[in-house]
Amino acid sequence: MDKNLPVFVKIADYKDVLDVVDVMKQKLKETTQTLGRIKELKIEEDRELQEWEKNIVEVSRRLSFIDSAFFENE
Amino acid sequence: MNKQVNKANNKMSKNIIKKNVQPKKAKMIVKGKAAVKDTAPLKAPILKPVLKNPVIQAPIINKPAMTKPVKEASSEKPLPIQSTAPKPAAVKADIKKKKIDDPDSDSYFVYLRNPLEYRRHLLESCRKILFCLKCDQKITLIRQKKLEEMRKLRISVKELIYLNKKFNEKLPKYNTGFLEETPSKDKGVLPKKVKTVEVKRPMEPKSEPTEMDRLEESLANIERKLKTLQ
Repeated sequence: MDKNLPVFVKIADYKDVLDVVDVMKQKLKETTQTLGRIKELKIEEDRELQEWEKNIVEVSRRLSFIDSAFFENE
Repeated sequence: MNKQVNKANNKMSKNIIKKNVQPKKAKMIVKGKAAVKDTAPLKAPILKPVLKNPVIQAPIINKPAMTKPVKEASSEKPLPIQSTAPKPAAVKADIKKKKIDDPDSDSYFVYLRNPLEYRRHLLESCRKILFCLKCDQKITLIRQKKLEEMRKLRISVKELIYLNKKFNEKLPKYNTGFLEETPSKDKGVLPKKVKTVEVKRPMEPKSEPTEMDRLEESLANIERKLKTLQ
């Protein structure tokens, strides 16, 4: 038998298959959108974390300055 | 006669005692207040102080806040100090004066050159810390949103898997065995058979297949099919 044999599908099944494919397309679109939203949220989260880190570094810098100024006489 | 004589003697003795009486001030606590009442003289112990309905209560207890700081009072009950008598106003005023004067007289000070600058730095630090807290709140919200989106994604993927299964069901079933049976065109180059020695592994207790296992299985199945098609 040849690999390239034609495949025949029943008309009723064919319509079902088309419907299923349509639904699958829709679902795939939704999934892609959801994934995009998750990516955006991840980027936002990373940005917030960076901001957080920046603030912490700033606070530690200022505190070390104050600490050195307060205890320089010791 | 004897009775009359006795009465006269009694009257005499009472008069004598009354004359000798020198009233002494004694503190008696009556209904929470310190009352001053006349008492009998020491010389005549027979007489006792006469009070109208005396109600003797426990001595006045100082407020607990006076004994220990408020923070410590929460952890353990302060021991009340019993006072025998209220302090006069003058003494209290003196104590207050001392309390006010003490910190200044005993403590040392360190000179700061630029106090405003330090203050500014401290305030800036506080501001940054508040920013950090704000960030924390934002991140928490973002993560909640992300979890929600991931839940949606999981549902979508499950639906897609189900649809794919349905799609495969609708397609005609045909035997793919013939693809494997087809003789290869280049018969001359046959790969040498390599003897493989199977090592028997001890039987592991089978656990229930998880979602991951099922996915792995279906993935392997698809890969096998793909290999047959190539």
